Amino acid sequence: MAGLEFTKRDLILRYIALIFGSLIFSFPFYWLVVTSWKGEKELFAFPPTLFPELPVSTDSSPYIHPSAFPPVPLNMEADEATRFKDAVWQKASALLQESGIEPWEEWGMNEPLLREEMLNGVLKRTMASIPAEEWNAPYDRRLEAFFKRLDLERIRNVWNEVRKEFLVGKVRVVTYEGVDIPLEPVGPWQTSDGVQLRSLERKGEQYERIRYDFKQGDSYTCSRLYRSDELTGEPMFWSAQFRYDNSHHRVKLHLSGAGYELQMKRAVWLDSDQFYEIKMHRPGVRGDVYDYEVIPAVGDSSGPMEPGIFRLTLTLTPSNPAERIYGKFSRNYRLALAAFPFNRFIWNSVYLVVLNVLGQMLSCAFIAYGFARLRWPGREVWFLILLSTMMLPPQVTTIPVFLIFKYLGWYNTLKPLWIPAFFGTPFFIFLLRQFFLGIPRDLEEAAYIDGCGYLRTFTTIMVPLIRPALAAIAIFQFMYTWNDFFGPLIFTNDMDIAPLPLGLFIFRSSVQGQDYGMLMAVTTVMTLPVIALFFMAQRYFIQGITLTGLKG
Amino acid sequence: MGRYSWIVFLGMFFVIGFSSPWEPGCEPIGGDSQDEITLHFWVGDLSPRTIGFQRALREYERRNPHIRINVQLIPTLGAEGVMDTQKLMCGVAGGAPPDIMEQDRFSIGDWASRGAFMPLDDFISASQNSNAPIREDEFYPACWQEAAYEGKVYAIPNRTDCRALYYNKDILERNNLVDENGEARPPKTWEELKEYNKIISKFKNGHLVQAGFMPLWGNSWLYLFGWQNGGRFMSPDGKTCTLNDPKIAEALQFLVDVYDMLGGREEAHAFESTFQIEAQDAFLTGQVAMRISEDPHLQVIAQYKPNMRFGIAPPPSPEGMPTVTWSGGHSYTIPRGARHPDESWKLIQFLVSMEGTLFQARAQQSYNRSRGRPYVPPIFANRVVAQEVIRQYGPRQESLRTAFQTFLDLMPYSKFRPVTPAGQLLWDSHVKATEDALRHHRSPQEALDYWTADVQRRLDQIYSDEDYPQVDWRMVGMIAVLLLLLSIAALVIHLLRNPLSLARRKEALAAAIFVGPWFLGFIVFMGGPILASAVLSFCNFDVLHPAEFVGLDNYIEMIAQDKVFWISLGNTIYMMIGVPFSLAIGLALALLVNIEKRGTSVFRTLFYLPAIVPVVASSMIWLWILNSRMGLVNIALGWLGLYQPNWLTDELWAKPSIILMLLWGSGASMVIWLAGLKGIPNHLYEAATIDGAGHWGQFRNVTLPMLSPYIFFNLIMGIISTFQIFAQAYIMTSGGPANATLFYVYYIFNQAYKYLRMGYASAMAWILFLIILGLTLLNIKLAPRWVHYEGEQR
Repeated sequence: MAGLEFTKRDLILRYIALIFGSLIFSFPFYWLVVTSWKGEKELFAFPPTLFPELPVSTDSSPYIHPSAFPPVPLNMEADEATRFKDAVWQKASALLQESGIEPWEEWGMNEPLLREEMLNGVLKRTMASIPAEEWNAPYDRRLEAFFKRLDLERIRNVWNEVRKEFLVGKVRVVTYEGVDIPLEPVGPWQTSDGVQLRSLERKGEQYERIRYDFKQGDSYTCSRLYRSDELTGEPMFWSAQFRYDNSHHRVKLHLSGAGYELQMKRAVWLDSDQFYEIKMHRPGVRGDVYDYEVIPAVGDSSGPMEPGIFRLTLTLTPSNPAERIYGKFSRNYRLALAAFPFNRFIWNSVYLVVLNVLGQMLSCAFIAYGFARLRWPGREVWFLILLSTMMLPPQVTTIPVFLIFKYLGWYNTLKPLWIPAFFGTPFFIFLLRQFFLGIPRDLEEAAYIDGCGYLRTFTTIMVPLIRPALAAIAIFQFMYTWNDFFGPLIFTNDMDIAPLPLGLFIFRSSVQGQDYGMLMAVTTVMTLPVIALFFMAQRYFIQGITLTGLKG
Repeated sequence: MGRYSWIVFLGMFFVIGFSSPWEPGCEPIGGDSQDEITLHFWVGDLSPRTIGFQRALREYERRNPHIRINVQLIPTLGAEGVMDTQKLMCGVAGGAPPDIMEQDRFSIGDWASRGAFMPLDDFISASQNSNAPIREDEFYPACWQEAAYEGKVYAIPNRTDCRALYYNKDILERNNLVDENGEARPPKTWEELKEYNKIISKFKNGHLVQAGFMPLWGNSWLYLFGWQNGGRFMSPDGKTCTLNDPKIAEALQFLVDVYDMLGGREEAHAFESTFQIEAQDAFLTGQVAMRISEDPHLQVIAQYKPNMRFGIAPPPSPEGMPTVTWSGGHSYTIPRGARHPDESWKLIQFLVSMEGTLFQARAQQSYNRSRGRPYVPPIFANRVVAQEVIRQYGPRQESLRTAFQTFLDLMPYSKFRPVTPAGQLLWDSHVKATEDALRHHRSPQEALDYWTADVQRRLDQIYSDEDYPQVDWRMVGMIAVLLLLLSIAALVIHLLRNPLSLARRKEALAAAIFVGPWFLGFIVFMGGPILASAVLSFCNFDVLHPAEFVGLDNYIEMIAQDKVFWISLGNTIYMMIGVPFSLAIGLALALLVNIEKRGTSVFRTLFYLPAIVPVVASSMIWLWILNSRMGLVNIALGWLGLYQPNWLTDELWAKPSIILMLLWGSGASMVIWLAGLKGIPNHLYEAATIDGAGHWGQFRNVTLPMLSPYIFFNLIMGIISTFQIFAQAYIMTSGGPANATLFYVYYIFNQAYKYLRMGYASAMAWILFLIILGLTLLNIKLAPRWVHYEGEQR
């Protein structure tokens, strides 16, 4: 135990226990942060990955994803395995080519890599459906069993997984009459490198594949004209469908026509390989409530084109490796911020924290001085009353307090959450009183003799002496306010004034909040300040806890 | 620092605070600029399924430039996805409700009886001369009646739905359940349904892999089966709850039989938990051959498996009973206290009018089409409108069209949930009774009797003839003032008897200034509320009506009648299991880090951190870690080949989940243990070593006795904080499953802000106070027997 000498064996065992224990205790934090860095597929990968994937490094698109599928163990001799793979690849590639896909030689693709990834995928997906007894049979029977289950559908799925590409789909305009009108393309895409875009069908719709190579230049643009004869009403927003290529480059949309010129304020990161829709609203028009990503557009009206004709321009900007990593790791954070007004929640929380901390520091020291140092009739009784209110469960008073705030008209404002702080909290008053009692009286008496009043003595002599205790109070109050969920839940009703904990709860209950990546991102943002503060002010914190914990 | 600069400082904060020009959201709800009106509209669904509705609001704004519509999504709680009634209740009670809200019709009576909604009759009669009149006879009677309470209309129904039997033709035909033409033949009676279920359900290794019919999967509750069997849930005068009608018990017995065929409720539950939604819906994949569900399920079929061979038939009924089905749906209401009732009404008129509804249908259809999805319109509550919507936007595909027509044809046979002020409670109770019977905790009749008593008690209270005296708050206030005056008088007398010297008088005056703020705060936020709460605990009080003095009724009801009270208390006491574990872990950690070696401070920090994480944040983290499919814990258990519980959704495991989460925060007690360990003098250990004590002997004979005051302190704190558990359950499980995590404070919260029974909640809070006080006193009394205070022996 404390102070005794330890044998070496004891020490080693103790350190092992410490390391093991701290791993268990901190793993949820690790998992929180790692989850907030994961993309949508990694989130549900099985088995879960302990580290977030790094973004792929690619300068051109389409490309083959280098680790779309993990290698599959075949449980065969090396030469048998090679033979087996060759046979599978021959069959699979033949099937694929027969089904009418374009020849991949055309886009200068790394063929060994393609073969490797395709094989892994096909083997993994097909083998999952072969029962063990058939798989343990001799080579020929195995091959037969495998080919029996190899079908084109599966191969095509693997093909779509392995190959990443940036696709542009339908462009639509939605009018105030609530009608979605697809815009008819006029002519082909004009690209900055002059290469024609190939069209293909995905998910039953027509898409155009954008082919860029940043080795040839540092940005890529393409544009196309669209027309609509149906469009009669006032447009509410334009939207275009995409499939991203997970390259973490950025794309910006520019739209002109119908008297508007719209340019997106921020670029969209190609940080996924899913299908997405980008919406562009007219300036001053609010987006749909359920926009995945609302991007305000800016610009003036100037339309040189004839009515009913629009031009959509896409500008792709390459990201350097550092930018890619930033894009990947900030993805969930950006999405969460776009989906919900988290900056508003954070501001509300900061506002409350500042006022609460100030209120407590001002009032508690003031009050505690009155209890600790000034003699007045009834002091002991009132101090006892103050102490006993600490025992009372808060549930006893919340209902009348709710009614009082309602009566004062403070319901659904932030006032109930900070004004009471200016009247002191029993716990802090008690803590500071103990502190005051520990200060020798001589100092004050000297001040009185010098002609200082009570207020003057308090501010100039006493306050500097209790700084450590004030720091502890500030930290406690910060934690309390930052974490408080019950107060805002009861006293506020409007999402606009929700502090972060309540905001997070509302987010969690919404549709977007079912995405654990975003949820963990916001949770991280909420947890970090607390941890940071703890590291900075650990000393005061522990001091405060032990001080109050023991003297009770 | 200037002499009084700090006063200026303080004053400044008050000025800033009270005027607070930059307070977030300082604009009050409904705050309008001069010519613009903001309507606050609360809805429960803003997903792409309601795009049509959302676009209709935009269109309305465009047509009425002075109106802005602020749509707010009201959180749905936890796994059950029930709209959070607490928000509305607080809003109405606090005087800041929304202007309009979309509300499930079945709870209209419940809310209307408390005066939460505005009666709309005047608006309706005024609208007859307008261009979009609202006429009762245009609506399906079931919908209209469900939105009315005691002869007044409180809501305008917008949509409705209807239940029917969906059956998978392929599976029926495969099992030879066909008519003379070889076509699949749906079951017509309960007996047939049971038979079909027996034939179709398949087991593998003792586990269900295909189910014929799972009565509660889909959207048919005991309500439907009870009605089919000729049962009634409420007496015609609405004063008696007849949930325990023998006919309903028979219906429940039928459900029990069907579930027993499937291997029991638990087995069926486990089977359900493997289901997915949308594209992988168990009916679409053939895992379940028949289900009773509403018409919107057609949308799922149309979207994901349009060529599925399925049929729609009226729900099978008991032998010789007529066809009965059930309609529910939503409606628009204007809460009492709304700022702009006239404008709100106009918006409702637009939304339910022919024009507005067609707009929504068209917008939704074009949205769905643009995404390659079909559109199956809902059944609108207005018959005329519904017909027109179907004519213009109904499904074109033959199978869907006939299916849809079946639903429309069933509408006249539909019943609706009884409109009663105890609607929510009746619903909750009928679910509990069903679960009790299905799990064989009680026989159907017993289960129904058991839970009917709750509803009946509530109804008796509501319809009680007894006139309770109203509480005269002036009287209470006067008593409070009197108490204050008395104490001042005592002080004055005391001072007169023992006059203070001049210096002491000055000092006392200064003290008044110093302690004044606290005193003010104490009166307003503590003393006054304590008094008010004590008075309220003897009252019926729902904020909207004056408080009535009911004597000890609240306390009697709580202790003698309210089962849920005891459940919540039991749950809370269950959580005490965690306290000793938490203390032991804290102590173990403290012993581990209590050495002056390099690196221990890092470990100390790591152990302590979980204790300071915001409870909302830690709830989110554990929601993810305890996720039954993708959670870390279950994946780890899977690797070890162990049983993987559905942590937060399993009645048995929900409380242990929360205990597990609380144990993560054991570092909090570690810090206090550490302080205790630091205080143990070394010579005691040395003496023990000389006496030949090993590590364990030292721990047993020196450390533990020396720490006993800390054990005592930690124990009390642990118990008190266990009683306060709320946020974890509210966020992660919302009290479920089956009340397993409804803790004491949570139940107080529900009573106060969900059912608005402020008096009852106050009484519960006082009981909590007594329990905590009692435990603390008991601890203090018992402490001398085992707590060792070092100082005492000297």
